[in-house]
Amino acid sequence: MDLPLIVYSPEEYIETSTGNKVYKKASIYGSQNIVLSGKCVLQKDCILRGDLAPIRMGKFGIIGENSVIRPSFKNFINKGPQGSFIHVKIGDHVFIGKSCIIMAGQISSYCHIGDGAILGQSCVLKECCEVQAEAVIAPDSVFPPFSLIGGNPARVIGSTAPCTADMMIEATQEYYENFVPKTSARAALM
Amino acid sequence: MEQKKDITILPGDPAALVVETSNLSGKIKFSSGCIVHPTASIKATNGPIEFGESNLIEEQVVIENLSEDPLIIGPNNHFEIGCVIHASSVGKNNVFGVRSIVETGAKITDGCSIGPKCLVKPFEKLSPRTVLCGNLNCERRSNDDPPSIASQMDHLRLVIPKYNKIIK
Amino acid sequence: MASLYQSDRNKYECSCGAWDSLGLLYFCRHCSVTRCSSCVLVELDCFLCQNCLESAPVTEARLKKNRCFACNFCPFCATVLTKKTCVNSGNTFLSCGVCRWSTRDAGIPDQSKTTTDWPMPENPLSKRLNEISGHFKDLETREKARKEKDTTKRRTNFGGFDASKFSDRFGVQKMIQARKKAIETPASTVESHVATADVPALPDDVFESTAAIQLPLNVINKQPLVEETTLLPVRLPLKGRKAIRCRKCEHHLLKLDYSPNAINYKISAFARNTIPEIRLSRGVELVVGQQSSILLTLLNHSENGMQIILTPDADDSAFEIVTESIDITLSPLDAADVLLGAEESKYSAASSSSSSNIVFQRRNRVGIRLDLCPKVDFKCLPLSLKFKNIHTTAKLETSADWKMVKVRVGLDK
Repeated sequence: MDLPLIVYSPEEYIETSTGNKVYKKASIYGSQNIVLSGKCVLQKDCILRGDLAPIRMGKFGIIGENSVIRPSFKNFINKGPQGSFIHVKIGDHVFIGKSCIIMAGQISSYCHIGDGAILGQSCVLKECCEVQAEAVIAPDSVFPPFSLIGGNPARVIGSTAPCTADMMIEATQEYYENFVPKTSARAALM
Repeated sequence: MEQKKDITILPGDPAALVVETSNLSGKIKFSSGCIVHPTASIKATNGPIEFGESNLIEEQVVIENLSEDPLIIGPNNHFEIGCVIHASSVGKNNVFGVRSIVETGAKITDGCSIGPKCLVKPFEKLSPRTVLCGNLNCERRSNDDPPSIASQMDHLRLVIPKYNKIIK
Repeated sequence: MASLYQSDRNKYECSCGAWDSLGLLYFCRHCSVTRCSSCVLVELDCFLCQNCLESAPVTEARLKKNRCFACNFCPFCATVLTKKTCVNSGNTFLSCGVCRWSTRDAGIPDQSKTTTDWPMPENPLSKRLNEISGHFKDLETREKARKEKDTTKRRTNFGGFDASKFSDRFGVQKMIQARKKAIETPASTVESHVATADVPALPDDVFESTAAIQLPLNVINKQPLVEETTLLPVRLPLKGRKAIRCRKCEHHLLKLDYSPNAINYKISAFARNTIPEIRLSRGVELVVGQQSSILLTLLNHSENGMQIILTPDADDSAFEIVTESIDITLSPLDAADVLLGAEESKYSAASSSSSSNIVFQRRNRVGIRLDLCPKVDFKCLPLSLKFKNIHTTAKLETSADWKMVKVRVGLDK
């Protein structure tokens, strides 16, 4: 089915010059460290902890309601117990569902993360992966491109369609265009 | 109902970091070294809560004391994002995974590791070094404590005051 | 993606008769038909470890028995083990992030930091097995040599013809000498297994079964008789990367780039790029006996314009058709248009084109209304899509023909 038109009230969201639509009251910490490459949508009540480590998001990224993106801590064992919070890199055209908890180190482009998923510390998701709803991904896991991931603890349960990249580009672009303020002409036509 | 806040931060080195944007209510005591992240909720609704040293309480955690006895939490516990704790007592060196639930009256001893989305049933007592994991809440005994979060805490102490206001 | 659009609700008919969603179908331009996963040939072009993403060509993977030497599964919960380093000694051990099992629990000594592969204990019977397989290989060469000697054609004996005295110009001598050697060398001997009646007695505690922890299947497969304390990590199997060919004309339909972690395709013949995509625009409420309209969206994902004729299929008689057929021309998607976001100007509520069944037309998509009167409650709407697109043939001279594909649009929630 087509993606629905989502109408928001313009007082609640702010649209930046690069086209990012961000919920004003979203808990965004350390916004200097957060880079949204453009045309991203950050929905209601999402939490981005840029104060711990830089977060970088590609274009047409969509973060659903109540999701948390939080850099995780990695220990280096070279000279005694030391470590730092690792930089979170999220690729282009990534769709993150509602109430997800993302502690991943890297989510490559064209991934789709279902509602309620939990991505463990420092995990790496390669391109075109799909994480099913309510999946729990173990810390430090790596998933190859085109994997369909599900379960608790999460495993590769199948593979995504080969044309996933094109489909995610279409879906995220359409979602972004359907996310309109009440005052726009399209919302009036509804 | 607005409950009166009564927060005591015990002096010590390193100092406890309780962020202003967390939701605290009731009588709470923090020992030295505790770190409370923003959006965490600690509600001493019916009875006081006392935290030991160097506890790490992350975002969206709910720690509530519904009984009238004080809830005493030992040192070096790690409460990960979204967990809900209604326990009657908590020991030391435990890890409460993401979105785990500890029901009313449960007693958690030392070195336990409760995995993501796992459930500790009401009035259940967990022996030391129990590990709960997976979809079906499997239990097993571990041979050692969960890894220490000391280096993470040191790092947080440097980073958090830069971006958040701390309750003094 | 598929779950965002629920595209598995809408099934397209493949040339072999199977029904599949558009994302899983391919279109062979040489045969000008659709192919689904059951009517294609699958080849594995390289093997990949899912954890360390190291690739191995086919021959190397076969030597390694399709297992990665560096990555292992936890024997309890079958999640991939992570390598941890001990702070003091610098040695590495494997540990599970989910159930907290570690190789130290099984008593396996820590490895030094320099080794990337995690060693597996050797099978105690491997020496004996290698001896036996060597002996049989030897027997095989002998039998082959003997067979060849018997079946070679006899050349006419021309005055005491002795083959071995002549020069080895054409490599014949080599063959003859090798064959001779194979037959003449003494056969290797292997001690045969001696049956004994000395069998250890069955211990009584076998009958007192303790509640065993349910181990993952791949652990039971590799270590069937092991007790809990001596479980070993299991090596990760390598996954093959697929390349797909059409079964009839054997042209490649799907081929990834050379690099093992690539997601770009060298050849990609997705059905989506040729056949128009159709999906439900809004949820539909059908009332039996009343005329209702179903709103559908038609999209053109190809690079060229497309002409489409959409007709509902009246075979089932589950509904009465009101709209006979809808004729649409769809333009391709212009990538620059999307990025510039000139949506407001291009959007028109109702276009002035011929049919009144078109609700909206925007870039590469069109919204249409299909009126029908259901006679019974039915779950999926059968349609036939006739489309004309230059992409359907691989030959450049011929103009495009009309192609037809049957679609079933799922209507229930």
